Amino acid sequence: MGRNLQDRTRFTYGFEADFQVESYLRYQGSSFVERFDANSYLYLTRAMDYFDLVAEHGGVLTNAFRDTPVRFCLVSFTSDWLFPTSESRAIVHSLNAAAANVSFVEIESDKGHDAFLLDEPEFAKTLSGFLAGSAAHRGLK
Amino acid sequence: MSAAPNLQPRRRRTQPLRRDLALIAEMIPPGIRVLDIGCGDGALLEHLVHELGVDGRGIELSQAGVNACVGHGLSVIQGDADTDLKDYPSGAFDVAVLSQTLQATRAPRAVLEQLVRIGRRAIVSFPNFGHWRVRWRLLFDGRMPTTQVLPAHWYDTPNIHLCTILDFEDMAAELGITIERALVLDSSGRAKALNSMRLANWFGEQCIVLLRRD
Repeated sequence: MGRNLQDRTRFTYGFEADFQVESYLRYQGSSFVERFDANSYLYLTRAMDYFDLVAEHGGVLTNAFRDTPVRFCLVSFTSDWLFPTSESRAIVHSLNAAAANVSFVEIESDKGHDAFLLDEPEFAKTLSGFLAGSAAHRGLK
Repeated sequence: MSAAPNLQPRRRRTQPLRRDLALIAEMIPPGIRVLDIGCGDGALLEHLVHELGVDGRGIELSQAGVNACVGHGLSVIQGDADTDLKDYPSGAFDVAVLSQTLQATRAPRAVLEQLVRIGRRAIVSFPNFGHWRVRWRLLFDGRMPTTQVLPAHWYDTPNIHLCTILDFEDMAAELGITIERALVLDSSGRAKALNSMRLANWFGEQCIVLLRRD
């Protein structure tokens, strides 16, 4: 994907989708517009901007996780620039400081942020292992 | 996602535990909270969780090891014994395990202190550089010894801080750490409780100690 050309052999130097990544984004965009009200995205992005878990817990993320009964699993992808591994690692450190039950895996992928939507066998293996382990812990088969 | 993930847990390993790991497992009572630092592919952790009902967590440096562990349903994070132990609160675990890892850390003394801080007890296993075969190799061959337990050459070994059993005993004493139990494994994998540390230092290829901070 990325800079490979989409259904053409040379650049058009126009505003069509010359590159595969553009075609991919347009496809996602138009399918989203049909499924959701575009305004909902405005509200979502604003909600994300105002959300600050650290501020809600006295400036210390660990406080948010105190005495949590939850089993956590964090997965990051090496090429994800939106949620980079370093940020996942910071969350893991905060969870450790609360002695929470946490798994953390970084997966090698060149697919960027959307890797989690794609067929990444290592991701599927991690997720199924985590879910199966959690189910077994709860006595579910 | 095209392939529906198979939600069955992957088949448990059937091969028996490595000898030193089995001895560590024998020191751990069922149902307690354990942190396994440097848990590798999770063989010990899996045994503890499934056979002893332990609340087990792991830290592993290699990403391949972590992925294998989490794929087996174990709670393991990618991390480094040298840098990531300070996050844990004191007394968070009943036992902190460090097997065959101490000698590969940058600051073994600091790691050991963290270990007895996080765990109310700690179990540490390490290769003994005082074993007669190691001494023999160095004395007569004049080269850095390679043995079954320490197979790497000096230039590619991860073991940057090797010690003998007596060295370990000295450091524990300096840190005010009590060695509650000690076992040595000879070259045929037989375990012996230590009567004389000096003798163990000649004939133990690996050492396993149960530690407590006073």
